[in-house]
Amino acid sequence: MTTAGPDAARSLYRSLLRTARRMPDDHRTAFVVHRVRSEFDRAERQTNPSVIERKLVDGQVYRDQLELQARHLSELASQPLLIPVDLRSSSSPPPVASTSKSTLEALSKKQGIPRAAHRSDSTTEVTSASTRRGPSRPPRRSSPLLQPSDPTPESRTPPRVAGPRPPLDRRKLIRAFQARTAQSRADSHKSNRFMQGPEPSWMARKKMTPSADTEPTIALQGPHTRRRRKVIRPDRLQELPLELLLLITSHLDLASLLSLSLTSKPLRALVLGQQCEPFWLAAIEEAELPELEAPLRAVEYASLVCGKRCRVCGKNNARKVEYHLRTRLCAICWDDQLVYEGPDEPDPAFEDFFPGTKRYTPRSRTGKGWKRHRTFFFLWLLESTSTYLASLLAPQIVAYDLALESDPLAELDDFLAFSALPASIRRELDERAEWVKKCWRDGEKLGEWEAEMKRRRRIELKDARIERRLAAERVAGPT
Amino acid sequence: MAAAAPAKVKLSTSEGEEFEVENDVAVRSVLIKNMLEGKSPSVLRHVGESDQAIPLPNVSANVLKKVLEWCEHHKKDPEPLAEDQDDTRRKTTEISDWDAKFIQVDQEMLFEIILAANYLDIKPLLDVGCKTVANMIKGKQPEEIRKLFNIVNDFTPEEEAQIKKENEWAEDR
Repeated sequence: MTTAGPDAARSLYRSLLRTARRMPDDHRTAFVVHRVRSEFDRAERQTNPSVIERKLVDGQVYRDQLELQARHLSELASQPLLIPVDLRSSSSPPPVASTSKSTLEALSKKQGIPRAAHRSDSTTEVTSASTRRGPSRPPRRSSPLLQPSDPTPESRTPPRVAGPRPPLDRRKLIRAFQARTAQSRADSHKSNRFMQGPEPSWMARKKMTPSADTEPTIALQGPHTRRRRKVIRPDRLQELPLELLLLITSHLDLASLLSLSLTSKPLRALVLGQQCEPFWLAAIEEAELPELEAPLRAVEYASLVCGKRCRVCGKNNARKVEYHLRTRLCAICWDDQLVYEGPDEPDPAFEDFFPGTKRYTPRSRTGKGWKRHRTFFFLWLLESTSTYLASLLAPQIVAYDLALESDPLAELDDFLAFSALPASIRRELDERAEWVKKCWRDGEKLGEWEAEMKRRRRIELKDARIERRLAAERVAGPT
Repeated sequence: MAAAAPAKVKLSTSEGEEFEVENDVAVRSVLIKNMLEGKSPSVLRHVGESDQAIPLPNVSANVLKKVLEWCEHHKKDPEPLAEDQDDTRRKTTEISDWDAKFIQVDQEMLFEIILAANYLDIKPLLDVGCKTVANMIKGKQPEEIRKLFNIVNDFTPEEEAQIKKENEWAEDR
């Protein structure tokens, strides 16, 4: 194995993961990540340098292809019309590693959508063919023969027809009418964070507005879905008087307080307000969490200990928590962010940062297996520390640049040497270094806390098992 | 005054329906107790002494029936101590078996009971109601809580991004 092998492989792996994240939809990201992982797992035990070399080149080619694909697919997704279903959804059909066109064809075959609907030249024609689940596409303008002259509400057939089901043609007709009214509403192109173009039905459902807008979208779900009969109840919790809401919040534990603060704006204002502060403190005390030397706000502490949100990508699946680095991450970001300090040579990732970044960045050593006793950092922490140092030491960099003009042999290290810095900056750097140490000690405490909690849980489970057995014996005893 | 109070008290609901209950059941409500003892404002002072029904315009008949059922069961309970009432943080969320069974009602009724207990000033019942709601919230994710209480997510994407930042510790100290 060449010396550059592991580092090159690691950086290739990271860049592949980054490329995967650029994919416009979740299932493609998941697919690429899965593929990359399995490839790297398989090639891990490879020792032949030429094979490794070839694999790396293959990987680079694959990454370049992926880049192109990601760009192309993102462009497709941003077009308001002719968007394949799976490009806009997060709960879409199973991962298919194919271009959007073949996906489209496969879908159209499966659902019986006429192929003509996908012709790229007919930009005005869009399909409204019903998907059984997931978001619906922009509704189709049905043929002019089928349409009444004015799309007033009276001309719309009610979505639920009493008595026996109408024949298929009639159902198509009904849907076409509904689609037309829906189309006229959707024509006002709204843009949102995901895409431009008409709003898909699932967003309207998510907003849960009991407006008439939801009606056609429900009907558009097709003949297999029943119309939702759920009655929109008024929101009784938020209607309660303030003192009663406070009384309820006073009974909540840390995780529930955090969850409640993420439900809606008024509840967030209440839960994070001054009146609820004692409840947070009491909840932290109740959870027997240690007091931190480098303090966190109660809500930050709660989201570190019992949150679910990934620090980097913001998704709600962060299961990996690193207390020393005060960070909660999802598995993908974890792999992407981890930077190990090599035993003999530094990881090339460190070279990108401002000199001395490592010293002022929180670190951890909690790895297991071969990573045991190896210091590691997170990329985002290194990046933010680097930015912080660059802004703090900007005058020194300017001074160095000026000095270079008169003395081309000037060394940057001389300008950044700790003793050469002004007293105020030295103090700030000292504080930062002290804070890093405190983070480390807090990490240790939190690690102990977690171990203790696990131990207690084990004992509880064991006790419960014993009790169950005893109860079973008591029942069986007299017989 | 209390001795002069009649053994039975009439309560009139928002619909005008009248309930006749024993005195020691009715006095679980501090509001009614104060009325009977004449501590309430002068407008209402006469009710304890006459045969007139006490008007409870904020409580409907089916809710009052439920509340009186609770009062009936708890009429022998000792009076809560004054210092207990000052304690804002009641940590225990345990509810007695009978109360747990009693409070197994739909959400609409649960909130009605809470509001009625608040209006009638029945601290222990209010506590039971609030604990029940707290137990409903416990262990749930924000999305589940929204679904449970039909709360509309009114955060804009920008605000969500802001929250994401707020919720995490600021690394630049």
